[in-house]
Amino acid sequence: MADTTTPGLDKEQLRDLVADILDLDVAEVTDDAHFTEDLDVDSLMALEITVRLEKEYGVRLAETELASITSLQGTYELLGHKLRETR
Amino acid sequence: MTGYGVDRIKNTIPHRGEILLVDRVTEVVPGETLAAVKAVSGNEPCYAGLGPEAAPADYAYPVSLVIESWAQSAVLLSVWENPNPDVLAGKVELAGSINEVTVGARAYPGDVLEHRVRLVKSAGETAVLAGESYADGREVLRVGTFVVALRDVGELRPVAERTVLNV
Amino acid sequence: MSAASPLGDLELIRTGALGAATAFDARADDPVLDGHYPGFPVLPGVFLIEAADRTVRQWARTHAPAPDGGDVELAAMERCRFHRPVFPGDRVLSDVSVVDSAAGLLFKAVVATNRGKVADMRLRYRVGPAHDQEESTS
Repeated sequence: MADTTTPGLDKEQLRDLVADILDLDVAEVTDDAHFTEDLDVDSLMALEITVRLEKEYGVRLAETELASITSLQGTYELLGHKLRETR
Repeated sequence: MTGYGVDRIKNTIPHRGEILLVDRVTEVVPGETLAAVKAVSGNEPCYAGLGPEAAPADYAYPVSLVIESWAQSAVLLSVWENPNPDVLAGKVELAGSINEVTVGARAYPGDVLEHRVRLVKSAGETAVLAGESYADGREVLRVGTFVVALRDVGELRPVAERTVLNV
Repeated sequence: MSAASPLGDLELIRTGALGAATAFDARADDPVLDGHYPGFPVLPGVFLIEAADRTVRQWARTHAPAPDGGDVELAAMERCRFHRPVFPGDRVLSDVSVVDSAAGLLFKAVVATNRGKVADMRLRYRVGPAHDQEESTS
């Protein structure tokens, strides 16, 4: 499946942001590393990620959408969808 | 007296004794914002060790305690309508992280810390809050994000007598 | 200890050009624990911030540049994450190290007990006390 690009959303920048929040090396935040299972993210950190994403990308994420924020790839796809729907 | 006093505060959060650092909730919009005050006094335990040679600046109220007082105001907002005054009967509010904190002016005995808190987001039993503290109109503290969650005490109790290898 | 603090003495474990480490015991008889919380004593997380801050300020007395002799003062806590609780009887080690940064006095602090890491922080300092200081009456 072709990678849909969205203006204002760059996967590497998103990776940097997630790595910064989790205080990890960028190399550890692989596309498919599971936040909870591989990167030791608990519910507190998950909410922190959500709030940072909302601030950085100017979106509002509903509680139901938080389920997609489980990997970098999942987060990237969710944000792409949110940013495209609000433009 | 306007607002909510220590009686309501003690019926909402479990902090007691010298670590209860909120005196009055002056305004509250449940689920949104809260304002509270804490009077700084020279008889507090943090000052007990200062002798006659202490300088006026030594009486600056510890920043860690300003953060704690603000954080208790934040917890008050997050549990205002679901009081949690007894951790053994309920849960304990666990702080996950405190980020983007800036320290401004210092507070001194005789000042009244005025805290402002707003709920940024919540999901289940986790909440993110932000706000500021003032003393005499000067900004003493700014908190960008404070993340807290309610947890069962049973999950947190220390594992007895088991030595964990250093990480 | 010259300034007001909710913590007692810290034991200096090591100090050098790159940072310092101190330790203190979370004493079961600390009156703070009676109220934090009744039936479930845990050291307030902010006491870890206090310990890290005092370790930095201790280090700065012998290592930091001080143009007019002023101490360093906490200007910002960029981040602080708590990993696990600290219980009565735990020995708390605060390890601060200078972060090489153009932004000035930036420190990384890792606080641990024998259970593991309890907190890590990034702290930024400014040299000299802020203007806002009570005037001496003498």
